[in-house]
Amino acid sequence: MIAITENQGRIIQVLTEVFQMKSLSVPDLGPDTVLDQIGLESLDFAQAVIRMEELTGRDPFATEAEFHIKTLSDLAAVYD
Amino acid sequence: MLSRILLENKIDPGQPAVVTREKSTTWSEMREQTRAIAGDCQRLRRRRVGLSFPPTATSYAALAALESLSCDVFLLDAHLPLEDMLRLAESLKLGALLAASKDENSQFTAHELPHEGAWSGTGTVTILTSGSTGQPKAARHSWESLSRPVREDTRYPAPRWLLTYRPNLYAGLQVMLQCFANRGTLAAAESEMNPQATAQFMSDASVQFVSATPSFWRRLLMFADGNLLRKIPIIQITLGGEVVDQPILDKLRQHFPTARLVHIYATTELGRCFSVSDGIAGFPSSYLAKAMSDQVELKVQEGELFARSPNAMRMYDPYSSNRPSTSDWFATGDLVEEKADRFYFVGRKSDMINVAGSKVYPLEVERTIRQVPGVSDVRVFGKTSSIAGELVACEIVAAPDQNAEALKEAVLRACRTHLASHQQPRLIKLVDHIDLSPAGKTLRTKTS
Repeated sequence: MIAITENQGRIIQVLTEVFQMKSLSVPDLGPDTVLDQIGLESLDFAQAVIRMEELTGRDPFATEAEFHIKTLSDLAAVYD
Repeated sequence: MLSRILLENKIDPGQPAVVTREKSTTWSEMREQTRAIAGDCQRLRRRRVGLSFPPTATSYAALAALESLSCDVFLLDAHLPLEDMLRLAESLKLGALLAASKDENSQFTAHELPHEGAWSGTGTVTILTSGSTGQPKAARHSWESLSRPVREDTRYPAPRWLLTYRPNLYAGLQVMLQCFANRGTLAAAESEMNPQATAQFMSDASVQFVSATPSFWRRLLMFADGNLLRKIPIIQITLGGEVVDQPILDKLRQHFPTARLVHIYATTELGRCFSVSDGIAGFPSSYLAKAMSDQVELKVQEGELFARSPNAMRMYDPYSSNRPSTSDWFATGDLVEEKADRFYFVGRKSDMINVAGSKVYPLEVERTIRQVPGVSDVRVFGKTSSIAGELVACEIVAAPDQNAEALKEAVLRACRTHLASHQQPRLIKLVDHIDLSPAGKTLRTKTS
């Protein structure tokens, strides 16, 4: 069992919701999951960002900053 | 017009003019108030006067008195704190503000204000709409434009009307004028009443004519006692203020099989434009070709309804921040779609949600969700997204005894079946109730 950070846990929770709302089976999600390989559409990602804002009070994507996000842990790190 | 009606002697003096839950005022009492206020307010003749306007006989008497003094009257929402009213009155360059007196015995306190603007020359009524931008729009009507749509109907002497609208807005004024022109009784519901209390009030007042928004009725039909509602002797139900859909028309038909069902299209600026009484949502395409009863003309440009109407306001108040219109055709901001010789409203231009460049009309999504069993009310709106511009969000009120998770799942399933992917709600919340605007409409304000 790999230990996960609080924000990784939140991302997993939020992505799980996204798949469940679309009535799709939820893929295995962990820190090393490559995000563009699990069938996420851009609106799914937009939805996850809004839900993360509700959970963390922050939206890092509202700024001009550039992010290089490949894996789930990259995404979680943006909120750390 | 109002002063003529209120001051005449033809009406049974004991008949109630205005009924609230606490109080009933007769026509003769209202006539005496009109005379008294006109006498007290001589110095306000031909001036710009703000009037705090709760739905009471005293308010209507004051409006009639100010009409008889040829004032330019500005109707203010009585819910506003006095200091806000005074600030608004000053920004509109009014010369005086009449506000309800704290003293039970005297009716009004007149606050004099400096920097009064110029009198219009005739005596007018200006309606201040809430507007979405904060600063209210000041739509100046003449007594003639306000009274043009009013019909005297001899079939129903002394009709009993229910007032559900804010008294200071266009719809509330029309209901009052329609009722008083027919020497009726106005039963004023308070917006704070819960559905069951509203139904009880309607029953106690034996209302015959009910003018309200679809949101008002949805709430009433869902939460008030159906047997109590069915016993109310309703002759006519007039829907307005919001888009009227087929399910609400059908439901009202079911509950009140003998009532006449009418829906009205009117705006503060344009006044009353047209009504539809065939029990079907939307309006016949033929309305665009023919001249209608009030010489109202309609046209559709790029999906938006335009109208030209002699019932329209005369202008925006010159001391307000609204720009004068340059054309007599007025863009309504309402989008329509034509299907089989009928136009249907698809929503407000300003309510449109832009999801990554694709347009979504909240009404269409609301219609889909409203049809899911267990959903009693719904509100769809745009939620700002840093990634997609906006996403579709919705709030749902569950009918009693619904399992929250199962209901959400059913809603999502219906949306996947009937809506394109960008139209489907991405954020879904169960709430106790949907807030209505002061005008009784579902609030569709965007949130960020």
